[in-house]
Amino acid sequence: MSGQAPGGQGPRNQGSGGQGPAGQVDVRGPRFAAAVTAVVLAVTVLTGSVWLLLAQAIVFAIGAAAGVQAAPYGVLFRRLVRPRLGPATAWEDPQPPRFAQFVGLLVTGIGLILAAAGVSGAVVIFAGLALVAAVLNAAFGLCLGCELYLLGVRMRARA
Amino acid sequence: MMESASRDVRFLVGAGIITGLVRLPFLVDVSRALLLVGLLAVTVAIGTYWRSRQGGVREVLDGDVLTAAELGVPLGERATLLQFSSIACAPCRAADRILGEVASRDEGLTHVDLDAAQHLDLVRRLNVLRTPTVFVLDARGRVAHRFSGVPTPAGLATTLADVVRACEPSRS
Repeated sequence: MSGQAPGGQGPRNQGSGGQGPAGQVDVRGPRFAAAVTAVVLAVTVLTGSVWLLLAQAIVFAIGAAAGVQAAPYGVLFRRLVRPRLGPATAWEDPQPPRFAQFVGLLVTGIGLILAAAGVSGAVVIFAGLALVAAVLNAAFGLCLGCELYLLGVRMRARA
Repeated sequence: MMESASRDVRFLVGAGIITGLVRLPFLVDVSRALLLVGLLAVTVAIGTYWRSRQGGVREVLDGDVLTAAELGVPLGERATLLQFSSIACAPCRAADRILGEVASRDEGLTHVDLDAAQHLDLVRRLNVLRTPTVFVLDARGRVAHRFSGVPTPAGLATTLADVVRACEPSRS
């Protein structure tokens, strides 16, 4: 989606970390992305900027559609951050963080739609909700997807 | 070439952050700053409460009896660890690894990891509300204990000892 080939890494990266188990990503990548997301959303709450919320929603959309490695913060991590860190020691499946991007897109998307409809305070409120979810995920390891996904499936099956 | 490029990037990022910080006080009003502090306080409260409940274990009285046919695998000789997971759940992977290791060290133990969305009948019967949820079944398949979240190794060890001991008199 972003036009980045997986092999497009700087020369300093080669041989430093190598590749983990097939299909897995360096755990520090999604954590870095969650931290950047939290800062962007905190500034959105402070400024009430609809453009900043739109930018973050686009980042969420790319992450949900193309995976966390192709999303802007993932690319930023690989290009600028990881070459300065030691080799990766832990790996994780990229599917759960990708689902979290989808949850983020849902929350920020609702905020944007309400803001476009002229609801005052929608930007600040939904940026705040997304911020709570992002910090819970990044600092406490609480993934709202794990808590709510099953309840959603149960309700849908009953209907 | 690489060095000067990364220095440029560093300069731009630094200049951006400083400009943002200088302009921030003019863009922000006090109520929004207070809102942000409040949101972070609520987040820490939720996170702390949630973390204190992770891996908590509860004894199940009058537990249902599950059969090998319902689980899709034979019951463990001494106990069975029945785990419910969902696709987008990182803690479930951790629980799967921990329980798999415990079961591989003990021949009398079986570990089953089921996708909750594919086993809604069992999910309803056992009232599973979140993933991971882990049940410890005794040798006869009776649900004896329930863990909410990733079980702690210590909690798991005492629970297993309990379950195995409770079953022994009836077997002898």
